[in-house]
Amino acid sequence: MLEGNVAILLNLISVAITAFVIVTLLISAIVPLIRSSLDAFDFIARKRILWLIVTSPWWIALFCVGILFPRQGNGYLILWMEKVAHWHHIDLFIVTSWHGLTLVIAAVVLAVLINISFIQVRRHSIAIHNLFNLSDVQPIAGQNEDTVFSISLSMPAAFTIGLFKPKVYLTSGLLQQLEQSAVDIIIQHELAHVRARDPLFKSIYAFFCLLYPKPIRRSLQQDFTLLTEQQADFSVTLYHDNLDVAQTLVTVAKKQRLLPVSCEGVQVSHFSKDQITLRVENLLSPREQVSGAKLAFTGLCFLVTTLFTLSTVDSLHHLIETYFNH
Amino acid sequence: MQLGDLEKLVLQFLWSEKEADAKRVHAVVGITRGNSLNTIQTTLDRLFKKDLLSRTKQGHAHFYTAKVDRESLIATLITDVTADFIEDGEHSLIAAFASSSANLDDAQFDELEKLIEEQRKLRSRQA
Repeated sequence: MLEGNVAILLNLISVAITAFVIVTLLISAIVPLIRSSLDAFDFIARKRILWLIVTSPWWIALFCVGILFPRQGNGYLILWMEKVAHWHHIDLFIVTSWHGLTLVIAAVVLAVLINISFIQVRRHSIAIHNLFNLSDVQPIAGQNEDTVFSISLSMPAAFTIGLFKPKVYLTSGLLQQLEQSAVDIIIQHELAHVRARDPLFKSIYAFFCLLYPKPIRRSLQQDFTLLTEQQADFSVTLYHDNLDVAQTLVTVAKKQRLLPVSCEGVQVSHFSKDQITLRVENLLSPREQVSGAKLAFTGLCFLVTTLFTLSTVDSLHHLIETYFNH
Repeated sequence: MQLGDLEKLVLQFLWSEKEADAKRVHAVVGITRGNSLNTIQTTLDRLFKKDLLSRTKQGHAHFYTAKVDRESLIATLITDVTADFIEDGEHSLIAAFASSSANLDDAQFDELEKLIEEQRKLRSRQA
């Protein structure tokens, strides 16, 4: 049995893990119910809400640790916090108890997830390295020559790659098949991703999503991808007509669907079928500013989730210890 | 798909030559890099197992042909780096302009184009 500061530290980690699991389960149950309502918000609000959702297990867990941190004194606030939630035997930790097992499982899960992330980043780096070794990559004349490049390939495609120094790539097939104004729309769209550092933030977001069950993880990632694409689409409308942007989107999607026979075996991106539709619809009728009441309600939901988790950590602790060893 | 530097060189050589055995590949690619014939044979075998080469036995030697042309391989690599939510690699570091949209059919694309056209007409009437 451990006592003193080490026991307090390990108990606080147990608090964090318990809170983390509760929030993750709670949000996994809520996300399918609220997902469609996200469309009612503007881009900035949606982005903030998505980031809040994916990071909430971390900061709510930290909040619970802060509340359950042992404090000296008999002040009103301390007594009130003790009433709301407390962790009995915070200065005692039995390694062979359920707390010890929880810590080991959490450490293993975290190590596995970090490993998965590294493997995925490495796999992408290898794919990118292979792509550039086998392709003829040239800067596009008249564009930002440090950022916009063409790849010699008949398949039409345009994308932005790079975590810290993102770059835009358009295939020669795309450049040849589209009019100059459409090419400019695509370049402006991709440059919007570069300015927003979307590849980097998508990676960080994807790491936070890893801890959610697969269906929820997919939904959250799809929503974030859609949002970054819609934001990039919107930024192009500052320079081009929104209907031209929508038309270019449909044209490119159609061309990509009609890939040459030599590309038939290629795996295709699994955007849900309405991603293109949603982007076009958004370009045709942009969202209006979201009302303050909706934002306040969303904030209230997060507050309730935090307080619910705080009270549940304590109750769950008591419940488990009814059956298991301290 | 993971490809080593030597594998890429061998592939590029086989895209330029219709067919070659290990000795020929070694003479052109291996000797200049200081690779042994055995290394070249292993590389060819690895590419064959990755389904990038096909081979036929002529006498005692295997003759290799590129099974995938350059365009198709690059298309595969682009799809690898731009795939957002494929089962194996949900974690994408890229942002692509448009997906392949395999799920949208002609009628749905027509519907979208009709919507855009209606908006254009509406706008020109209002102007």
